[in-house]
Amino acid sequence: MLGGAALATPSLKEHLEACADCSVLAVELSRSSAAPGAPGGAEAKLDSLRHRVEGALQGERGLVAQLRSLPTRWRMLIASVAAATMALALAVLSPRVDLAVYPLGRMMVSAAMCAVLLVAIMAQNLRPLQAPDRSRRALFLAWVAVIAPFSIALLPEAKLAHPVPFNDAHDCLLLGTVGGAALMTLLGTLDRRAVAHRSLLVPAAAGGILANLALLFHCPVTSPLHLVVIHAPIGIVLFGGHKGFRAARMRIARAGAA
Amino acid sequence: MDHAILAPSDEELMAAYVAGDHAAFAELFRRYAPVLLRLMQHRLRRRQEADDLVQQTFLQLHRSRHDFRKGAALRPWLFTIALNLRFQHFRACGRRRETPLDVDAIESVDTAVGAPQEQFDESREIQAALKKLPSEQRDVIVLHWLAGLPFSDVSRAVGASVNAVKVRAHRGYVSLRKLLRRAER
Repeated sequence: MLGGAALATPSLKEHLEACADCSVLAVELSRSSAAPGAPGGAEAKLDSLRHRVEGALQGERGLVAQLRSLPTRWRMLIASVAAATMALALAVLSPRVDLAVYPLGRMMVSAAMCAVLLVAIMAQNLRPLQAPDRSRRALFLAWVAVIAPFSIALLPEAKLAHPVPFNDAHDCLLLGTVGGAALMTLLGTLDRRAVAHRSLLVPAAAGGILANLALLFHCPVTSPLHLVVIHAPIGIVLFGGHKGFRAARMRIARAGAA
Repeated sequence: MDHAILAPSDEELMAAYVAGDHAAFAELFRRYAPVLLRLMQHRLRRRQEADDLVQQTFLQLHRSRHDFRKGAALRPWLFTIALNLRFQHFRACGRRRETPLDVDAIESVDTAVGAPQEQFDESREIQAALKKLPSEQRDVIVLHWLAGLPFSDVSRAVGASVNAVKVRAHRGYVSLRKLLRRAER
């Protein structure tokens, strides 16, 4: 079981010198592994595995493969720039009509909170596999991102002289969902993990928080009811959609395989 | 001349692969596939699952190749990928509890052709004893012994402090020794 290389590790030698139990065990283990090597059958299996790996590497071609093979800092930069572009595009192309009178401090604090959360979630989602697993942290951040828009929505309403009526903002859900879904797609493209191993909630939470960030610069409705019913649940809508999409894809794949 | 002296290090092979040398990848596979396979088989029921995870480990090595920094050690890097993949596999399967591989399957890789029956039996006993250890201790022992990782690298791979890893290893070795002694009687 054990190769000679393992016994040559300096820290191991150091440990063996200090620990009587382990040094006795080391002798026993080394004796049992005195003649390591792979049997013929195992060699054939390794050969077949090598062919499978080579086949998988052959499939690593095209733009998507190139994107996910980029260094992590580049993948993170691409996702951040894309998210910032989406939010700014909505702010520039369709700015909220009450921008001049809306309390700037309140908007900046909400935007900063969303932006920080978004970057943290994207960093967790694009975390490389050679770094120790932090899936619990990612999940925690995702839940915070799902809850945060509700907290922002339930803050005391900003009192404006001429508030925009509730019914005047009907495109928020559509715009938010489309923007969030676009970010989710990009995160999926940049994600190196196998589809089955990817989180459903984390990218959906990122999409939801981006949607809320972008709508902050676009939607002039200050009613908490509108914010709670339309803006805040976009992350949940994206999660449901993502889950349904993946289930449908799996069903199709299974049917195809059958 | 000693052939081992001429053999490129893992890191040199990785650098060559990043630069586009496919033969370097083949050599890395030859060096690491058997060890990774054993690492996976310690916790998985079916050989097929272990094969899939080793395949994914090398696929991830390919995808992450530009993240590999000059001066970094490849071994802990690769084993962290492997452990993370295994963890994700368990999570995706919805079974966090380990389901060890059957002894016959382990032996198919672990034992040598023509190895004396005595060694064969000892290896079998060690495998059986390893399976009885708590997964935290076993992972540390497998990485430290099987993969030859120093404690600092094991700690990075399992995401615990060096001291915690040393404690786990020590407890694991003590338990393993007891189990082996009990088996001898």
